[in-house]
Amino acid sequence: MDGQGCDGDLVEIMARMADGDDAAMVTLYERYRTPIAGAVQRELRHRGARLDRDEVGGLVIDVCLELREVAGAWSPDGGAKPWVWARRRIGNVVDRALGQHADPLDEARLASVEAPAPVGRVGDRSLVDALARVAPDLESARLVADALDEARISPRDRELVLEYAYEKQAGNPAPATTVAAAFGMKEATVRQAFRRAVQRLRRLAAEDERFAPLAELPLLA
Amino acid sequence: MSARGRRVAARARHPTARQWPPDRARLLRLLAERAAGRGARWPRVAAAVIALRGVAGDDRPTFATRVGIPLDQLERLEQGSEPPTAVPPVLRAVRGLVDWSWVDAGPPADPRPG
Repeated sequence: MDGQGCDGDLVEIMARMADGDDAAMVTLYERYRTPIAGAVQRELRHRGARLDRDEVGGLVIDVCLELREVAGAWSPDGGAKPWVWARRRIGNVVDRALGQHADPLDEARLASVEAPAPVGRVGDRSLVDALARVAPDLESARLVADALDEARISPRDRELVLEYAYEKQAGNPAPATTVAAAFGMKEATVRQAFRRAVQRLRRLAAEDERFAPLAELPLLA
Repeated sequence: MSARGRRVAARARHPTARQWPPDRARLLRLLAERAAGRGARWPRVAAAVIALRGVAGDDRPTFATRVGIPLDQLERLEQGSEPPTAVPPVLRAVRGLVDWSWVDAGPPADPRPG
């Protein structure tokens, strides 16, 4: 049920959720709460935060509710499971929960702090984090992005490669377990997709001078 | 133990084989809150019936046929317009998913003005 690709069962559940059927949200929870919990835990890890299992359990339900709200915009054609596709929404759910645990804002102190300069477009935070980790400087990050384009790696596999590399660089001893849970895939499939993508990037680095610096990056280490 | 048996046992021990434990009581409370927000007179009844249909994974006509009740009765139950005493025995017979004492203890919501 949690295998690769979007099965008909999940497509039907999302369609019924888009029609406003709360029972479909329960079905989603019953059948897919484990990979959704994996997605929640991944967002927590990216923020360096920890919550107990009961709190994560509550967030899993909140995420199901959130997915119900956006179900109409999801399409199986993209190949991403809803909880991967809606990762920013899940990040928002996690941020809201973490905000409840934070110290109250000191308005007076805040007023005395100069606002930071704008940093441009805000992208997908976890992806940006991942890219920054595997390609530490901006030039390298751009090169990796171009290489992923040039090697014709699918959008799903790009995310997978970056997440896998991020987890690996962060010291996770079992990156495939974490990424598999987040993407709703089998571990073996994750390892295979990562290996395949890295081989293509290595070939590109070896054959195209422009991409030669890639070989020095943690991503291809 | 055979090699196949050892593989099955190893898979069962692996972290990815573990299911996240369900918290159906919390889910029921959420569904009841949503039903109350929609103006349900008996939000806990609505939550319980919606939850059972969700666990079954059915749409309304399929579920009505499965449990042998008319579709319009199912719709009234899900809308929360029927009291706990109207829940058919076939649904009450489902154990372990819904705390029926919680459903029965639920007071009727005040009717919406207007």
